[in-house]
Amino acid sequence: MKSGSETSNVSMLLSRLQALSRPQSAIVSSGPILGTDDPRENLIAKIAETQLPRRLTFTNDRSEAISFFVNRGRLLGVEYTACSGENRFYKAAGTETPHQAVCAEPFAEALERFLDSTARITVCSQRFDLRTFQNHEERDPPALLDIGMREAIQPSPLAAFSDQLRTHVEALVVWNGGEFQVPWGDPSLLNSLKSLAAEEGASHDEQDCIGSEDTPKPACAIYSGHPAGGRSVFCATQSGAILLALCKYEKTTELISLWQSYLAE
Amino acid sequence: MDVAKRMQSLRDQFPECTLMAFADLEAGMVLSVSADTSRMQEEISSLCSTAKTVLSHQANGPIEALISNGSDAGVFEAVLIEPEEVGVFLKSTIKQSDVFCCVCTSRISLQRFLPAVRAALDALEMPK
Repeated sequence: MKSGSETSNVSMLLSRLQALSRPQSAIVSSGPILGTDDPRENLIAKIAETQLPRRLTFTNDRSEAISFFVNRGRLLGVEYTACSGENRFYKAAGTETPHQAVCAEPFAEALERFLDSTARITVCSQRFDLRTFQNHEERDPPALLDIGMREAIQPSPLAAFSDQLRTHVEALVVWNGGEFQVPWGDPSLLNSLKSLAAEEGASHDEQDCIGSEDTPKPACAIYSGHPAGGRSVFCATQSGAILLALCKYEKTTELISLWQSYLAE
Repeated sequence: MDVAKRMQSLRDQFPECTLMAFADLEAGMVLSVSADTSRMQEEISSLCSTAKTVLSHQANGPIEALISNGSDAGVFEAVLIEPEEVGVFLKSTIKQSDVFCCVCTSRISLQRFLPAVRAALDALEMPK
């Protein structure tokens, strides 16, 4: 371990892990996306966890669609398309939380119509250009970019590595480019990991903003609880992507072994 | 066997462990060191400081909540793996201010090393 002002991968990772140990911020994330138990809360959770500019389009079983334009967990606007094809666009004030925004008029009315007696809702996420929002008036939805013309987020090597972990862990998720990749495992544990990953990802974004270099080499830290009945949190970073996995204490050394093999490849 | 002998014995068994320190987290003091070469005091102090950081997480932190077994909350082990070095920090399950801090080369077999260090640490605390 290096000392003093020297910066190693571990110390960089360590500072990030310290960010993880802060009290959790209110990232709403509960259950599967738009499960039928509480679709409104799940929809709000989906907005809250979306960090990059995205158009989240929810479609119900009446072929009505409602699109939320989201950036950094904030709602920028809503486009509502009725089954008649009628299209309305509302711009958000930009200062409310997602929860406040969808409860305020005119969003609330559009959302109420959309959710009314709906049994099944699907969700689709697309990119959009934030600049198109600058001068748009209400009822004038921003044009979507052709996704094919944009650089797609490449799956992180950590996502491929995570395949090896699945039989050993209770939950895992990879955070890459503002998106959750390969989420897997017990939903309640997974949501906790997602919250951690989102916080960690936000600290990455802040570092990017101030020009700090991200480590291109993989680094890893494992925190373990009590040897009798505790769990371990496995955290790995590589080129800005973050892998978080949760396993029983007894499985810790197996994860370490897999990680060391991955490093040796 | 006293702590210095235990650490030397572990390092004999695992030569990839280049530095081992026994510290009191509450006091923030390193009580005994075993190393392959003489080390600067700053390096030893830095190791103790890192141990305190990684093993003294907030009781209500999100990591604590995930790894707790219910009755025994807290981080008891932390392993930091970087390409050239591996850091291992273990907290006693019996006297939680006692910790072992280890620096190893990347060739260390953690599958064998971790249980051995845990056993040595807990054996220190057993009633004589």
